[in-house]
Amino acid sequence: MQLGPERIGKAGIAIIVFALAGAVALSVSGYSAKPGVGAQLAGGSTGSKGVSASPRAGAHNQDSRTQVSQTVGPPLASQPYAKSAYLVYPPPVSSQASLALAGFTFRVTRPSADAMTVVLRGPGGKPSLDRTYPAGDKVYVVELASGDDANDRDYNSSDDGYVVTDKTGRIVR
Amino acid sequence: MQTCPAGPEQMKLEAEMRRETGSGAIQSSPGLTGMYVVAELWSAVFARVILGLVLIWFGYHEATDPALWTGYVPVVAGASALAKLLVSAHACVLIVLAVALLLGILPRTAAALAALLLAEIVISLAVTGGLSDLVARDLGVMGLAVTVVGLPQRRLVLTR
Repeated sequence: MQLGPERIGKAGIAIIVFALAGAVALSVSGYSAKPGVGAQLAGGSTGSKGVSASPRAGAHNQDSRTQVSQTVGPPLASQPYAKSAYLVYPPPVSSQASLALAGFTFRVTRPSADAMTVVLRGPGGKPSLDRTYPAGDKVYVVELASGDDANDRDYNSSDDGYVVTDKTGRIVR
Repeated sequence: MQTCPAGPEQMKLEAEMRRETGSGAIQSSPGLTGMYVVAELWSAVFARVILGLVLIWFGYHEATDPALWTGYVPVVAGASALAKLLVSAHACVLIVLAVALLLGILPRTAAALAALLLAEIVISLAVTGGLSDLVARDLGVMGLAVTVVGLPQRRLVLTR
């Protein structure tokens, strides 16, 4: 078969068909697979365990005299995305963490000596966090692929998320 | 896989460089000239294969974890099933184009389609975020695809 200046034979057509079938099979497998690391992040669409999901409604603690309580999960270090989690609070913030924060609005306030309020908004509003934690907790931003960060902007927030841990490094639920 | 008969220009070039040593091996001229000759003979293959490798890398990762790439889909909400579906479809196209390029099946046509895909990506990124490292990088890959379209492919291509 002639296509412009090029030709394709039966073997070529067969290979293209097989390649297409293989690509479709791979895509179907990837589409319907159980949520990967990306979907476990706060920016993902599933509520899988182990990572802080979107903040609970009304979780913001306005009473500075009330001790903030929380439940904790597994250690952050045990999670598959641990190597992509960058500490953004408390400082100092590394250059990698600064890059991971590209496109995020991030603010920490101290309503009392025992508590801290964390506000974090990703590009397009996702991921989103507005919650009060005990003062000793740590905030991490997860960036699975830093190649989409440029000009202080994140072009793809699907691979972004956040994790909050307690003093011992366990993920706060 | 066969090598297509070389065109007149290539045959002349090879004849100029061929010094019979009994083994019939081609000896390139010393220094830079030899390097340029090799580049002229193999640059088309090199460009095609490199482009194919880039496409298959992205195609594979998009296919296996489409959720990580939905943020790049313009207009459509990133968390939607439609975005995932579009990413998966994009992955299929990338993989097929990559196979065509790597095996030399309609390589210039495949490169032209890849250039169109990349042009859409570059425009989308530039419109949403302005000029950036990402745009520059993808522009480079698009340039490579356009180059492959313009280079006659005569070596390591599948023929009928």
